[in-house]
Order: sequence, then structure tokens, then C-alpha cells
Amino acid sequence: MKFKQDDASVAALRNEIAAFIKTGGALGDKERSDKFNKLSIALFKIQFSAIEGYARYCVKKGVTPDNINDYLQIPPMPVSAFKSDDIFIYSNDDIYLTFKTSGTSGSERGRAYFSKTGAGLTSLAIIENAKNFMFPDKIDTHFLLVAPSPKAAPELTMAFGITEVMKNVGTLGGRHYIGPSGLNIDEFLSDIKKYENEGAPVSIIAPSFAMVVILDKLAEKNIKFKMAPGSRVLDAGGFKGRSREISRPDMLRSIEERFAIPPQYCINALGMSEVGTQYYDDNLKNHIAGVTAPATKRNPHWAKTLVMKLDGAMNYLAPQISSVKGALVHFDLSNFDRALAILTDDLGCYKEDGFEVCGRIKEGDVKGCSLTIEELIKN
Amino acid sequence: MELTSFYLPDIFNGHYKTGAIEISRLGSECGETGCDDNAGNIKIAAHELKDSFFTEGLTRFYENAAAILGSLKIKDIIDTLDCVSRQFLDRDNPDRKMAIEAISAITGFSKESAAKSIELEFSSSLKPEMIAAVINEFGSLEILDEFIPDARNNRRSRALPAGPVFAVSSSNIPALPHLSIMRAFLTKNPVAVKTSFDEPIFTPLYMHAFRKIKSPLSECAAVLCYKSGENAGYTDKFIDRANVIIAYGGIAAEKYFAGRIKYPKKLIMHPHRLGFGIIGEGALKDKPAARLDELARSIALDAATFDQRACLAPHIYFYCVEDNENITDFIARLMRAFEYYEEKLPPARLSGADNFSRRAFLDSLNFEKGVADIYETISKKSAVIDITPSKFPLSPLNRVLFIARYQKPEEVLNIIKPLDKYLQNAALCVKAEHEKFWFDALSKSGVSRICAPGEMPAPTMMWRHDGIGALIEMTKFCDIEKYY
Repeated sequence: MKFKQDDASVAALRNEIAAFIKTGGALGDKERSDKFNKLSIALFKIQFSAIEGYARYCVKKGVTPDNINDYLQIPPMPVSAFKSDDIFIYSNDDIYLTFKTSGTSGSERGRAYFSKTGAGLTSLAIIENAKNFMFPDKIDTHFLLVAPSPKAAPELTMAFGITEVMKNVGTLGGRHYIGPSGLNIDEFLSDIKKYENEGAPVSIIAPSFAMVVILDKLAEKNIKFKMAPGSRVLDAGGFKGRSREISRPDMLRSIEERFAIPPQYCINALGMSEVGTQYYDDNLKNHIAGVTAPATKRNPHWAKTLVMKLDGAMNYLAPQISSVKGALVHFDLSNFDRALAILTDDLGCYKEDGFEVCGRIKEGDVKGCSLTIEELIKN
Repeated sequence: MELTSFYLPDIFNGHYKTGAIEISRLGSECGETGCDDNAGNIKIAAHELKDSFFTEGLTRFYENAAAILGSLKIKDIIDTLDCVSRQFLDRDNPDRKMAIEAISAITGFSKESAAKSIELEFSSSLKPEMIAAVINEFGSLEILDEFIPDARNNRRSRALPAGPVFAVSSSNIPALPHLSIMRAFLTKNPVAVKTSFDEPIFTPLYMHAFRKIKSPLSECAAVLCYKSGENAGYTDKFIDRANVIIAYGGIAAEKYFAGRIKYPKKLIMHPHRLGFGIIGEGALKDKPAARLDELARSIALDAATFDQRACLAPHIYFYCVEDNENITDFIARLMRAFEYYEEKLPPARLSGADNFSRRAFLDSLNFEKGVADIYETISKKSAVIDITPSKFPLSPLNRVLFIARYQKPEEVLNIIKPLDKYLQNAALCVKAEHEKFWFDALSKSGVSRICAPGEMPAPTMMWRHDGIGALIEMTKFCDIEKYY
């Protein structure tokens, strides 16, 4: 049964989750945990009712709305399920945004649908999280977004997310530097130079591979900037063969050398089209708080990331076991329209009180699912 | 005998050093803390090639081996190959026992599956099968020894080796790599074989069997094991010195060899292939239950053998819902058959990543349009998916079989049509009056072998693998004609 966005029960739960995103961080541990559990189960019941394939899957796992009392019982939806067209609690008329997934195995890409109200909830989650992890010092910066605008790339989740941050965090705004003909490096460098001269702090946000391209161009021309204190860099995503791959320490060294932005102000984030929330490294937050600890990806209070054993039996590793890798599962209350629990094919492990992404889970070469029909035909 | 990853005839002495490598023992027993993919290592002997291996050793080897093979009669070669095949069919043979243990440990295949694979490979590699294969392609045995009169065409003909041969093996079917050596010997070609790092054990064992019986054929094949990524130049050097290259592998391997091997060298490539079966309209009508159970077992056997990792194996069985047993009833028979084979041929152990991927694949099918239901055995190690597909569904292998509903033959043909380059084996269970239609349609669709359900994993040696005459491609002919 598909819902309508203004159904009373749906709207009430959405509002309750929005309130939790805004204020839940101030609750005590137990109260916050209980609230997360309650909201998760309530949201699961809606998603179970509205998404036929998900319901079938949950029933196969022995879980129904009638026998669940802990969010850990919620069967996480495999990311590959997004290749089907039915991962949405509303009818297709309510699709407001569609983000293409990056693809897991093979070339076929999935689609993550967002309603207008769902996009609003996602935006709220993105903004609150960015304030917490990217701007814990509450400094106002100029945004330089090495990404297309949402209008130019409506199916790109990163374009949406970072533009929401630019529009809603601080007052200075900024601009996008990827246009129809690719990266506008000259304009980017010109604006960077201007802010350097003005002594105005900036936030450079770029996909990781684009950051490498920029750093390489600066190195090629031996250009160095001395950006104002408080400037920061956020990179996200991997290299995916679109630039040379460099290690994290090498990237941080290059950023410091070319922009005079210290490593404490360089944050990596994990984002997925299928998941509303982005997961930030906590190094800047720690730095501002005077805490010395290795950078680790953190969950905001409305999301939890668990590491699932690879045994196929849907068992989670205990959080204290950090030496073993497994599949990352994200529980995210901002995933209102789709499924709040997502089973990724990212390999990861627990780290400190957060988690670390260690790569992709890859099956062996001889296995059939390493191929898709599209690949065969294309070949 | 200690386990080794290579076999080099004495002529290579001085051109390599012996070292050791550690091969991972595949074990995905998942405990409380996670899956341990590396259940210890197996230390095996390995080679370190000196520069002189290629500058001197390989050339001398090929010359020496060509001379030996040229001096042998084809019947003697067949007798020797038959003798070695029978050794591997002898269940008391210690080398066979060692091979089964090692293959199982390294690849994850159950011992029963490894043994079954050896049985299948060598029972189709006996003297009668070899003779039939040679005659099938050449018309006679002696044509490989000398000029043979061809009275009908008023000429004499001889088939000569086109090699030397360089063969690159895969690891997906235990004992399969022996076939490249056997075919090379049957065409009197010296051969160097690069084994897969994922299963380097069997091929050296096979060649040691020739040495044990003091056969001169023991000097005619070299078996090497190296990682292409770390020794990219090796493969190039082997290709440079060979005239015929046989290669098994995936899309990346296919692209590499297709780009690297140019005329007049010859490439015999066996890349990814897709198998399937068809249960035709009315084929099961009025059949007794015992016959239906037998058919279900045959289908399960096609999928259980080699854990579906062979190109021969079916991804899908098309099932005509018109005038047949109800499909869910037939799937129930299939599930019982899969349970039976889990006992008889236990499924392979999977790595954590493979295990996860297979599970995620099955779970995601719940969301796929066209999937009516997903059936699994109690252990969840075998699965059947009831589907009405819009395109050819690819199995993640390891005993995941699609049963695809159809009503009209055109539905099947439309689904397989875009894959004509990749089709290979098709199992057919149709009424007699429909056979001709399917034989014609499938052959024109790119299928290179049609058989009955249950026979997919066991082609005869006469089968023209991927439509290619495997032996004849490794020879060149000389005809004497208009000579008075």
C-alpha cells in the first residue's frame, strides 16, 4: 500500500524524526537510544507496508511489523535492490528527486527516489551533520564547490548535498566550478586568489578524484596559495579510475603545501545516493574540541553504522571487534522514503566509536555475478 | 611427492631456481568474530626463472620436444595418454588422492566435487575417446604420422603440428588444464602451460605421471606458475615463441590475448560462456512422477557439478508453462534434487566475499520484477529462482539456478539472441516433434553443443568446444595433389 506524503501517520512520524534530527543530540544516552529505536521501528512498519519487494524480503528473513522490537532486527535492504523501480513508499507521482546510484557490481545503475518532503528531511540531515562535523567552529566561509549545480546534474546526490550545505550554512554562499565543459579551473584559481588576497576563509568541497586533478594542476604550474586560517577542504568518494590514486597522507600533504590548509581542516566524507546522511571524519570536530584521536567516520545521532559478518546469516560484529572487516550497514532515519537500513557492498570495520571504509567487497573472477549482461553485450 | 606449482623437463636444468610459495587454503568458516578466508597456507615448490630460461632453455625445449613428438607414432602417444588417464581414474592412486586433497584445500571445492571432476575429465580422455576425437576431426589417426592416401580426392594428405603451443589455464574446473596438454600431444605439439595461481597443483602432477612411467612425453610439456601482474613480461615471451596460443579466462583475458596475438599466430580462446536448458511445451505431460524426479535430478546435476563454475553449466532452465507440470510442483522436485546433491556432491566452501555476494544477490532478487519466488535448500547452499525474465538472468553460480517461465519459443529466442557470441551449451528436453525446430533455432543462435539435461558437464572429447575443432586448429595440412 503506497502512502501519500500528507497521510496523517506518515506526516506525524516525519515530523517526529525531523525534531529528533534537530534536537535529539541533546538527549541523554539512554533516552536518545530508545528514541532512535522507537522511530526506526515505526519507520520500518511504514516501509514494510509500502514497498512490496521489501516486505517479501523481510518475510523471508522472518521479520514482520508484528514481531519486531529492536531496530537491529530490521533486515537491511541490499543496495542492488535500487536497480528495481519500486523502492519508494509513495506512488511515482510523488518523485521529486531521483539520484542515480554509482552502481555496485556491473554497469547497471540503480535509482534512489526522494519525495519533496523526503528531500527536505535529507536536507535537514545534511545541514545538521555539516554544522556538526564540518563547521564545529561556526566560522563563516566562502564555498567553492568543485561539482555541478543540482540544476545541471539533477541525478547527482553530491551536487544536491553540498549545495544544500552552501545555501544553509553561513551567510557568504559560493559557487560551482563544474559546468557543461567540465572543470572551470581558471575561474576556480581566480576566485581562490581573490579570497587569499582578502584573507577570507574558504570551504573547498570536491570529489576526491577532482581534488587530485586540482592538486596536480597546481603542482604542474607550481602554484601555491596561503588561504586564511579557518579555511577547510571536504573531499568525498573515491577515485574510481578518474584520476591517479593517492594515499590519504599524500593528499593531506599536497593540500597543505598548495593551499596552506592544515590536515586537521581536511575532512573526508562518505556519501551514497541510497542513503540520506553523509558520514564525516571527526578530525576537525576533535581538533576544535582539543581532542587528539585518529580520524574516524562518525554517525550523527539519527544514524548508526554496523559491520555485518560476511557469513550470509545477517549477523553483526560486536562493536568492540575492530580487527575484523565486514559489510557496512547504515541505519538512517533520514531515509524516510526508501528503506532506513541499507546493506552496502562496502567493506569496513569499527574504528574507535565510529567506522572506517576499507574498500569494496569483491567476488572472485570466475563468479558469474562479476559480469552483467550489459558488460557481455558491450564487450 | 611434495606439492609443486611447476613441472619443467630436465632440459631446463640450470635455467631456473627452485623456491617456495604459499598458496592460501580457502576456508570461510565464519566464527563469532567474522569470516576467516585464509585458513592457513599450503607451502608448495615454485620456480624462479633465470633470463636464460627464455634466451636458451625454451628454444631448446621446443626443439627437443618437437623432435621427440615427431618420432612417436600417434597410436603410441594415445596409449601413453590413456595409461596416464587411467592412473587418475584409479581411486587408489596416491597422486590422485593428493590432487583431490590439495584441490579441495586451495579452491574450496569439496573433495567429492574434486573427485567427480577428475572422473569426468579423465573418463572422457581414454583411448577410445581420443581415437574417436582424432578420427572425428582428421578422418584417420595415421594422417598425424605420415601422408595418407585420399582416394576419393586423388591426393595424399598429412596433418603437421602448427605449434609450439602456449596454453593459459584457468582454475574453475579441477583437472581441466590437462586437456591442453593432451590435445597438444595428440597433434604432436610441444606445449608450455601457464597454470592459474588459484589452482597450480594439478597440472604438474599430471606431467609427473608421465615422468614416473618414463615416457618420452615427459620431456614434451612444461608447466609454469606465475602471477601475470608481477611478471607481465613472461607471458609476452611465451607468446613470442609460440605459434598457437590456447587461453581460458574472462573478459580481461580475452581482450588481452585478442589484442596481443596477431596473424600468423593462432589464438584458440575459450572466454566466458553461458549455458542454459529448455523444458519444452508438453515435454513433461503425462510423465510418471519417477521420470519427473529423474529429470529434476539431471537438472540439479548440471548445476551442482563444478558448482556451476564451468562454462558448460546452466545459468537458467527455460520452462514452458503450457501443457506441462505446474512449475511450482516441478521446482519442489528440483529442490529435493538439490538437497540430494548437497549430500552427494557437497557444495564448495566460499570465501567471505563470495559468500556475501551470493547472499546479497539472492536477497536483491526479492526486489526484482518478474521474480515469482526464491527457493532455497535447508542449508541455503542451493537456490532456485522462479522468474519470468525480460533478459537472460546471470547466476552468481555456486548452485543458483533460474527457472524461467515461458509460453512461446520466441520468448526464449528473443532472450538469448543478444548473447549469440556467448552461448555455448544447451540442454534440451522437448517433445520429439519439436526437436528439429529447437536444433535449428539453437544452432543458429550460437549454441555449440546440445545435449540432454544431466549431460551438460560431460561433453565427449569429440565436442568442438566453442564450435572450434580443437585438434585440427593446432595443425596445418600438406596435400600432395596432381603429382605424377
